[in-house]
Amino acid sequence: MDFDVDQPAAVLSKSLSLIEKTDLRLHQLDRWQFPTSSSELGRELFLSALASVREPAHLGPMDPVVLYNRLFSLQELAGIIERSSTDRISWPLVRYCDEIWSNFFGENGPKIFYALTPEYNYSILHFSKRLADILRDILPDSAIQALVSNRELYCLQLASSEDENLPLYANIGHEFGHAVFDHHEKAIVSELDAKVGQVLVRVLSDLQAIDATQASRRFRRICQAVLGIGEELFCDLLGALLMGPAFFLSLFEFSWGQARDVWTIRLSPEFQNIRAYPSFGFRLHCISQWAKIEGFRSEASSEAAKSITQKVAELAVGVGTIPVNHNSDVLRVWPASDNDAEPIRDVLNPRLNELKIALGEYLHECDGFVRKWYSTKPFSDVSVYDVAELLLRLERNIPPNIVPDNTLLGKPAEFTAILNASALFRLDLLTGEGSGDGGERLRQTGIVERLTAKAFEATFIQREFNRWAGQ
Amino acid sequence: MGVLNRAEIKERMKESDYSKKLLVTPLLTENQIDAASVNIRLGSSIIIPKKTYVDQQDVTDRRTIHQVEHRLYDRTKLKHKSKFVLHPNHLILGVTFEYLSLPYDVFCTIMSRSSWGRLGLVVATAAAVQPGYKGCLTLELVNLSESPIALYPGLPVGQLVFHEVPSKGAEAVYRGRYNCSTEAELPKFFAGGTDEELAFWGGKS
Repeated sequence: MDFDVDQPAAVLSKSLSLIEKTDLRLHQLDRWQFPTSSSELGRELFLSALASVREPAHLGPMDPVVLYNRLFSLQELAGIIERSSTDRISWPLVRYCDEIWSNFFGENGPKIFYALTPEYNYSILHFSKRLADILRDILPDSAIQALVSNRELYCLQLASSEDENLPLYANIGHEFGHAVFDHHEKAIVSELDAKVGQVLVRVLSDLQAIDATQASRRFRRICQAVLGIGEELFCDLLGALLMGPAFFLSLFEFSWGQARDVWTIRLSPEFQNIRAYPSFGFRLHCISQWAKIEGFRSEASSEAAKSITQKVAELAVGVGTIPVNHNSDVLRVWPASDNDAEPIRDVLNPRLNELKIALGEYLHECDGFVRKWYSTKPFSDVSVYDVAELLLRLERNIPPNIVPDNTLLGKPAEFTAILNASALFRLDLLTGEGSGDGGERLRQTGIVERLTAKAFEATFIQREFNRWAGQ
Repeated sequence: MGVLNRAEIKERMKESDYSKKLLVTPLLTENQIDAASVNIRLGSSIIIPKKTYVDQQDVTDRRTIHQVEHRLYDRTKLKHKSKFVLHPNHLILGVTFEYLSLPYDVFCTIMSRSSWGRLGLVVATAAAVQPGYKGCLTLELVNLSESPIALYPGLPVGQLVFHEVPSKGAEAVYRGRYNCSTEAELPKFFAGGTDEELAFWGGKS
């Protein structure tokens, strides 16, 4: 028997078998487990893609080997849908996320669903775009368009269960920033170009002076890196506007144990895979402005706030000790084995200060843009007094769900007020001298995280109930 | 040891000092406060015992009692407006939607509401809550009727009755293993208290 006679046919049958298995896997998911109804959109889109791949008119011209490879890429997306389960995702948290999302995109815009990721940090995936990219070599463009048009879908991948990731909640604003960036990319990139363009012209001149024959490629790689930095800073701006000081604290916690003064560019042979990040110092400096840290500190130190709890003033002092200095920043370029790494580093480092000033101006313009695009609905300032009332409850191991008013029931606290009170309280527990040893800190932060998750649930239900009852 | 009436409950709830305050949060409506009790709702966290191949639950065996938990129980969270069907003679662990904080001089008992009791639903078998307790309360929900009962988070299935007790200071205040719970909790044997003697009684010390 000749085992080598018809490999393409054999690979095709393996592919068809994999399609069947994947289809069955997705069909077997219990919709009862989905944290929001948008997960069903993810499943429907994915199953439509499999159905389209299976169509005889599409299967005929396909290269079986390419199909087989693409089906393995599709497993990644199938896995994401499988990890969209309320067993490990807090539905009150994601319902709040849905409210923020709909403030940006309305009822008819792109949708978002939620899944878990084994990674430490949150991330957002343009699910429908990724699906389209995977299908690119196996389906005709018209079929892909028919599949994804009017079905734009994102997936926010949450790091783990809700009561273990309080410091990450505030990052949701940053992640949503990526989707906002996608939708206004032209205007934002044009503004970035307007502010940073002159610096880049001087960078090009420097590159030509080093080696004119290599300057063009190196310049394009730098432009891609600056674009990445511009996107990250834009997302930080959104995170700060949406979440206030909590996002500042969250990023500060992320910076622990890492160099705060290093800008990073990771080169890649493909331009679109070049990654670049500003230093934590510069990011914290920018966020402190947009999250209005100084105003928050000053109001928290007022007698009115202190009369609720002295703790709010103590914590405000603590916030003031967070370093936002970025004067000693340097830029590093990886991998060192890439021949462009050293020249790129050498031309950008002397111009880092110019670049920072230009990026600051760009962010200022972006702030104006987003307020114009979205009015002020998603960006209400955090009330220091509400935060103080919630801190008072946290100090006594009570969920931070109610701000007292003149009724017995009280007023359900705002999502951002809960987030900020909890972030402040938690950071104080982690860094405070009176917090005991590691085990005691772990126990106490565990309590804060549970109380916070409870507060999200309680306020969400209370607001729904009040709406129903007409209160 | 007197039972607090509606006016006394409200007065203690209005107390601004959290150490003296009787707190049941969130209260969705003042009507939850009855003549001498506060109605409480079913929360979203539940634990469902499974039919399993574990030979027995032996609480005197410190080594295995917690190791077999995943074989004995499923945990889940019910979404807003989602249904859970409790079948006849089934026990599940639920939780109150409300978080409770008792002052040092108030003891509390939890019991079924009469309408639900007539349906055959028992909400709590371990009914005593000690002064100073903070947390949501785990409910032992059993359907004693002949037909399945549909449950939804938010349904007012139980009630709390508060008793004023003379306090002699911190000694009387609850500092137990279930403090600050927000979800349904499994039994925490060997997590402190007098459980060390369990092993003795089982001949495993």
